[in-house]
Amino acid sequence: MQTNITSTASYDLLTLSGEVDLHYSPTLRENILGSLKAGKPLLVDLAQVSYIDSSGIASLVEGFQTAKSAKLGYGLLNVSSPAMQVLTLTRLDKIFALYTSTDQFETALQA
Amino acid sequence: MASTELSFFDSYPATSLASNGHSAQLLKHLRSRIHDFANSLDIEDTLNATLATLMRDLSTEAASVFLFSPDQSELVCHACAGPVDLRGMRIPRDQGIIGTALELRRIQIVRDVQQAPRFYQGLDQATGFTTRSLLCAPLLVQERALGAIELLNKRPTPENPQGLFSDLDVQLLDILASAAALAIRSATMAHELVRGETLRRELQLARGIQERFLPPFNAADPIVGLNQAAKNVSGDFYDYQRLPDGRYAFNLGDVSGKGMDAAILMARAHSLYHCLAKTQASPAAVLSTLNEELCEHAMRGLFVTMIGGLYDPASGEVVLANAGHLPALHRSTTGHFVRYGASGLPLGIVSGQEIMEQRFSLAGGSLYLYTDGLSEGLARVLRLPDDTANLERLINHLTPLPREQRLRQLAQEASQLDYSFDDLTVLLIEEPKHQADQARP
Repeated sequence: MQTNITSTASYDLLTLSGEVDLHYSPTLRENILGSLKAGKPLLVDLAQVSYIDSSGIASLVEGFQTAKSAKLGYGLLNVSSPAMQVLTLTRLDKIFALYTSTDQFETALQA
Repeated sequence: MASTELSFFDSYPATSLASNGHSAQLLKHLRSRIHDFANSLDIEDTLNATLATLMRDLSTEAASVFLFSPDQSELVCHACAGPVDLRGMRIPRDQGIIGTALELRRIQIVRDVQQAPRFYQGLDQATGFTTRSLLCAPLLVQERALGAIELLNKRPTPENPQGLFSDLDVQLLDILASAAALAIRSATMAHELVRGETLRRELQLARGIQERFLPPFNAADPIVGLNQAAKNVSGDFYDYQRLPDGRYAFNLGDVSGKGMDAAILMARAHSLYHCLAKTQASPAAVLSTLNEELCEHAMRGLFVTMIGGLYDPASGEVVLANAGHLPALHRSTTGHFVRYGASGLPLGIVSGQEIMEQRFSLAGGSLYLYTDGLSEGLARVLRLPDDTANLERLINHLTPLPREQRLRQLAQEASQLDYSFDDLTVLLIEEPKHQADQARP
């Protein structure tokens, strides 16, 4: 797994690529919570994720719970097909806010 | 080579005692000390023995051993002898005379700390001890630094009224520090072995406790299960119990992640479900109650995917509720499959969610509940994308086998590449048909 964080004035964009498994999920968790605990809304780009296991999903879920309690914007961007398959199977596609562009997320933040 | 004209601050390479001459008694003494080090496997004993030996042999007021912290960023005092207790005190790894000894990999001698700008004042300031002179040796094993030994304030004698460290002191410390470093490393390795063995036993105990959660095998039951842990403890689980009205309550779950935190959550979910299933007739109601409990104490995003169900042997009716888990597979007697996918979110994420129930008749067929250790393991073996159809084909192929043998074979097929990085659990609801069904999986 590789991660890259870019900051804009209104939110952080965390881009993931490769396999997100038990080995890397602590790093993912650290990245997600790092932004949210700094008070920044977070968009996680999953377009280049080839595999995600339940520990990776747990990190995304913890981000969802943390953002919700802190009333911060949080969403997933361009979820890749393998990641979407996991979200659909578990019905977690129903709880995450899914976006197909950063513009959509920015609009949602302003709403 | 060390010079006989010692300056106030010098570095000493390794030198030979032979150049200074020595008595047979000194050699005997050294051999005895080295023998003591070689035979010590207790880190604390070793360090204390090291310091006691050095203080006595080199006649100093105080001595201390600093070893690297686990992250190597600091040096921590692990043992000391003398008027003040330094144990637990920390200094930056590159500070003071110790930092220099470690950097240069050489013994350092400071005959007057007032003349040594690199002397680190922090410890004296913190303890009230006054250092006048010191001798510091790095503890090296195969060029790897473990830490350093410091000897402080050589005691004055009539022959040495100023209490100056001598060239012989340097050479003695050089020899004893090498032996001490080996002893410390041996003791550390022995300590780690013991810790590893203790941890292994604790994990075995935890696994044993988990296995006792599994229902006792009864050949007459229409349910059999198999649970194979990837690590010592499992985040998967299954359970079933016969209710007073003759129906069977069953469930199979998978906690996100692996290891001890997943196993603890698994134990909690398992116990709650087992208890709730006795009093609540509806699997969906049990899962909803369980969800509220897990949401109340959410930990680190961990969640549980679970299927809960009821099976009535008298009517063949099955009731299922699927909270974010892989589909249950109902195989008819003719080999056709119906998949019962998630009818609610995984447990422990969002409170107040509704989980729908699904009802059907087993009709003499079989119902398979499984975790991703089975389906993903199979996909890896087949080098195909993870697809439920792979599993369905394998089940059809194995159906002539008795129930328990079939489960073992399923697990074996999914584990044949020895990818043991995921827990694997299967639960089968099927009336016993074969004589061989009497055997436990």
